[in-house]
Amino acid sequence: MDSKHDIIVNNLSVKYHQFEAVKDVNFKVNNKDFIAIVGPNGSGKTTLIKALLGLKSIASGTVLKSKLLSVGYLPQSTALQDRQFPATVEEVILTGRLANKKFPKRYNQEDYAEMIKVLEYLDIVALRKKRIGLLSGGQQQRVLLARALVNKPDVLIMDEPTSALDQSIRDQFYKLIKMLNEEIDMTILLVTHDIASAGDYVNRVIYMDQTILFDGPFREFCEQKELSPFIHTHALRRAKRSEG
Amino acid sequence: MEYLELLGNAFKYTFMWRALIVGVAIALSSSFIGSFLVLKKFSMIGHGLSHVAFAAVAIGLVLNTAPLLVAMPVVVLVSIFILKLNESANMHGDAAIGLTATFAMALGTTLASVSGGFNLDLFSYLFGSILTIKSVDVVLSIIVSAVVIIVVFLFYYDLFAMTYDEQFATVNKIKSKRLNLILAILTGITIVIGIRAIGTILISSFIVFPTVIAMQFNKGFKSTILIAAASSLVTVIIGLLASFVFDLPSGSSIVLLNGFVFMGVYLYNRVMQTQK
Repeated sequence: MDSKHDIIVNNLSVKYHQFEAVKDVNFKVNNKDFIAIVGPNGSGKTTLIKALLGLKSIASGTVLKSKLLSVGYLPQSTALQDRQFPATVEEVILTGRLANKKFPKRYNQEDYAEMIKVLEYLDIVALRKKRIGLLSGGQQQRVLLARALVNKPDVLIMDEPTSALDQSIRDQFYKLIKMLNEEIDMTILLVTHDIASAGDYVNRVIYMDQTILFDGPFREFCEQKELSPFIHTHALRRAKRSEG
Repeated sequence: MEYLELLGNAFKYTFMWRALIVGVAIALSSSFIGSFLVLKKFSMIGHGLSHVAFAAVAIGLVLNTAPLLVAMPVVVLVSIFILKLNESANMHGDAAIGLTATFAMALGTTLASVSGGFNLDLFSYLFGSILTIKSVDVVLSIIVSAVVIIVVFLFYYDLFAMTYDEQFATVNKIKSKRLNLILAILTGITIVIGIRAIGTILISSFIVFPTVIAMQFNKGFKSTILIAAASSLVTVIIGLLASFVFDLPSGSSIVLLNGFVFMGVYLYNRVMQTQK
């Protein structure tokens, strides 16, 4: 492996019973990459990142990453909708610090200091003692981002993080992620349907439908009209935006 | 005056002290575990396991052995079985609980029917009877309660992280499967210990009511657990004393009291919200 930050995926296949959701996938995530993984519904995007995160077992192939690589994870924004759940923002964010703790796990001064830093960075200090279920969708997403960032990950993996957010909040969100990518050299892996909004921020697009059909810069991605109507629609939207 | 006199007399009886100690122990352990179970949407596991406990008690009575000695391993094993069904066989938790609960209930009633002769004993296990609590039950409930509280204390942050978001917890190297297993075992033994005082029919309310009452206060997780434990303690103590004074079944007195507390807190919340 070239560096601690790289993730190398070789001939990866993942199955749900007999169905091969991810088929013979090969790619390398380099340090400081900002990659959008796109594709139609059921194309295996979420399964792919679940395999990278160790949440789904691999049928064949390998995912090579350094044991020292620290990974932050931001799940789908629709995944956590239990507004009744009695947890404060502070309680939720601090769970991001549990990864490297030894039994019996307890938070220390450093954990609280890191939490305050990330609250300040994401401009949500005022929410610290609030119950997470009472926050707006955009605020909740920032809290979950804070939870993913509080352990200072090398790589941030996100699954449809903006699917439940308004367009204006989406743009703010992507700007924030880009800032993390540029200012603190964080590698970003983003599964999204929303390439029209995310395209301007990423340096690489991976288009997949079970297997990878395209891997390259967004500009080139927009030119691949023959690959799928999915791409063509976004290319048209992008062209319209640049004309406007 | 007559009732006050009766209340004063309650503490003169050893069986009442035993019931209070067992009640407090169950109140603490079940509310601690209940907070995780309810929020993992596994509220009904207590209900399912109580049916299994009923079948196990019937088996114990048929075999003429101490029913709780049979119930303890059986209920713990079934608790783990429900967990595994939910984890591996693509079966929703409520379906897994429904399957095991109805099967166990059918087994229990069949045994009761074909064996005959122990229907009265079985009745006391169904609805709980503080008169039947023995010294060994007191010791056992204190031990179980202490184990539950210590385990929850030691694994608190992992349990919370897993309850809030199991996938994120797993990515963060938290051993969710192991924690679920621990939770399943603790739930099983807590249910069995509660059978004597509360009965198999109503013991599941000890898992659900305290947490649901505490959730009405809109606090964080730690505060919710503490409110649940406090609410459970108060309702158990008052419920047991009320059952003595008014000569009512202990389990139903406690559950009715929990129901009234829940309604009171819920209505108060609604009124406060409309005034805002």
